[in-house]
Amino acid sequence: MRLLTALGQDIRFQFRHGFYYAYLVLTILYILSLRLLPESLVYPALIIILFTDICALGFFFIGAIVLLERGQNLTQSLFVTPLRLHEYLLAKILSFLLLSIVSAFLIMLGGSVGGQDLLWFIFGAIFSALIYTLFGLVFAARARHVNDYFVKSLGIGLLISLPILAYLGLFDTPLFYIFPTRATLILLDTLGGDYALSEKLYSVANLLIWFTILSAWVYQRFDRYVRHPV
Amino acid sequence: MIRVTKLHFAYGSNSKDTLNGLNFHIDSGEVFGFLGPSGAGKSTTQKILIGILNNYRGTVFVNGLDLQKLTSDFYESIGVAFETPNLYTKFTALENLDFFAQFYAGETRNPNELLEAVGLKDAANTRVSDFSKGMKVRLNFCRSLLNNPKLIFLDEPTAGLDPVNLRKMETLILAEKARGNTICITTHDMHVADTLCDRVAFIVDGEVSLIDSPRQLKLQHGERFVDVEYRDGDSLKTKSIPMDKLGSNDTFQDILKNHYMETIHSREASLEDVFVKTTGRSLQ
Amino acid sequence: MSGILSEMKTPVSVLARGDLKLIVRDSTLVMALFGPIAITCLIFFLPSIEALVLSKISFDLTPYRSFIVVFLSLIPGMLFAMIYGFIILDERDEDVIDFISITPLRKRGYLTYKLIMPMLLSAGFFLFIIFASSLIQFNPVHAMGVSIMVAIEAAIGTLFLVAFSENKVEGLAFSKVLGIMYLAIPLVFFWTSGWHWLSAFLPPFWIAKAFVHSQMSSAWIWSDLFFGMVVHIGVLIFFLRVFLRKR
Repeated sequence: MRLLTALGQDIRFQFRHGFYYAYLVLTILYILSLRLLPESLVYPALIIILFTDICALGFFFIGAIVLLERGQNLTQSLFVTPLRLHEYLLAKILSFLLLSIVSAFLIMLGGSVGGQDLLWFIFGAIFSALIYTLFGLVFAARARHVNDYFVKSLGIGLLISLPILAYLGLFDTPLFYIFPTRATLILLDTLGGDYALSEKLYSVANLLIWFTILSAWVYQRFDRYVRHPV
Repeated sequence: MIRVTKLHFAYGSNSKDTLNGLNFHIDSGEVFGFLGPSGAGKSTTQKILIGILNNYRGTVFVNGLDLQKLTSDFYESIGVAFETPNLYTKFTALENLDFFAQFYAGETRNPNELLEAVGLKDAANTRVSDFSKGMKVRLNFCRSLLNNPKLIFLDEPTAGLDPVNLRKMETLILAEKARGNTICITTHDMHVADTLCDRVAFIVDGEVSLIDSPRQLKLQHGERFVDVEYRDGDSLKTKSIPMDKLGSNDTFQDILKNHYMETIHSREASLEDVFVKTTGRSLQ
Repeated sequence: MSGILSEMKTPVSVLARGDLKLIVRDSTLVMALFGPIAITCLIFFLPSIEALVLSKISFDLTPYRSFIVVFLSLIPGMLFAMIYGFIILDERDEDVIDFISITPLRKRGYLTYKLIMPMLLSAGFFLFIIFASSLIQFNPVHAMGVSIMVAIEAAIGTLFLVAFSENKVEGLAFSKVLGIMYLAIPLVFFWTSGWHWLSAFLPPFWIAKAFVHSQMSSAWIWSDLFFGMVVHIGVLIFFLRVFLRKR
């Protein structure tokens, strides 16, 4: 109940701050671009759009939202209600997940791209969005300004996105298998590519481990710097 | 209701303690005021009492609960209004109250009635971004009452209010007291402390220097004299007369019988005088 | 640089020194420079990237080189627009602007300063990327004309963020939309249909046009520069009025 209240508020908050309009415009433009691209490029373009923007949007936006809530002392008033910290965090994460999933669905529908076995793909899309938002939250807990957040998070953002080089066939190293993004790219690519079951299972395990570590880290940082700011 | 013993607290890397061993207790149903200049430790103390600052030393019991073992359920029964109003600016007053109300498991008060009580009924559907400072303060007060709290913390509840709304706020706070609730106020406004509080604690440099009822303090630190201003022909004269056996004092009788008296004041201390006298500090 | 600035006593120099202090104390702004610098470095590696792509996935990027260079040369401008846009939004959230409006600098002076910085920086990066990389031929006179548009475009970007958004969260949503403006560049380069003229109201459209015509040594370059300037200044004035009317 408290979670649903917080989630509802976060969605309305994002709506009033124009996120949904911004992504509506972007989604339409992505669809148009996909339709204009030559047949052979549509599928890789879709994967890159999903990977770099649609699934990563939480990473991009969460910093400013938490900064604004911290700046206006809203976090303080939230944490003197019975709202639990994990409910607060979950609401933030789920609200971005919703925006990601809806945009992704619309883009796939509009670009008429699909696949036979969507299960792995959907898991990959969801966990990709979750992990990006969690990474954003790690930095959002302490950043002082939006630029501060961007600079700190962008370095990590670029770093964890490196496995895209392997996806494009430009550069690969076994080290990439530690990255959560290697796993998300594999799962997103199951839509059109063939992967061994072992690779898919590796990806799921990789994402679950990252998800667990990041969740604990985010919880600890928010408890320390946002719920009990000194 | 609240019992604090040997409370110490230091901010982050500060080696110096902000609070140096506070001791006090707040009884059920009383309005208790923390008075002191900015930076004295009033807000820090309040932040500890509401569980925001948790790495303190000493013991703090609120409602029989040791705050070291605090869970989020603690917040079902307390209400807090922070000094800086913190509300969603893109949402209306009513939307803000409705949102916060939904976090509580128990029965909540009707937001419309709360808004009416603080004179914000007409602004219920206005976005908070269009509110004045005083309006935000009042809305913030409403928010603290949503869950029918038995214990209410108010940080500078009258900051930014004009005289009319100041009076209104005082009435509302006293109404909460009349419902049997315990209220804890921090302020540097002596007038507010004087009119609202049953007992006040002076906090300076992280220490409590005095706790008593405002009336008691004023009497204790005053002098038992009355100052009388009266007309003697064309000139205005002043006399100080001991209060004891005033009725049989010759000077006083003379003024009463033969002169036109303009003012008469007893010389009890003001709360501010007591503060300056006992702490050696001014309130600013 | 701080030496020169400390000798000046104008309000702008006061602000500039304030920002310099901010840079020294707050490493953020220094680090914010890395984005534009990274893009610049990328340009110098473009030939090696082209070679890598060709050998690895046998895709020849060289036909797209001029598009890539133009596109990349405008990104620092967009980044500077965002950096300064968010500085203004942060300062607005913290009521710094209200404070400055009652100093001799006034709101206009503050804005002038906050706009001139991204303008100079983006024009500088643009010219540096075009000429220092010497990957493409660009008539210097034409390039100077285009660099003025690039500068105005940075101001447009900053103003776009601060004129329409009320706080940094909205600013972020708008910065997403700002990126769409640059869609005009691929449209000019790759969309052969006359429909691409629909994007002529987007300032980068004219930069791309001027570039294409300059490469073809076409006389249309002069009309591109003229109309481009008209569009840029028009959009700038529109955004300025929106911003100044606000609060």
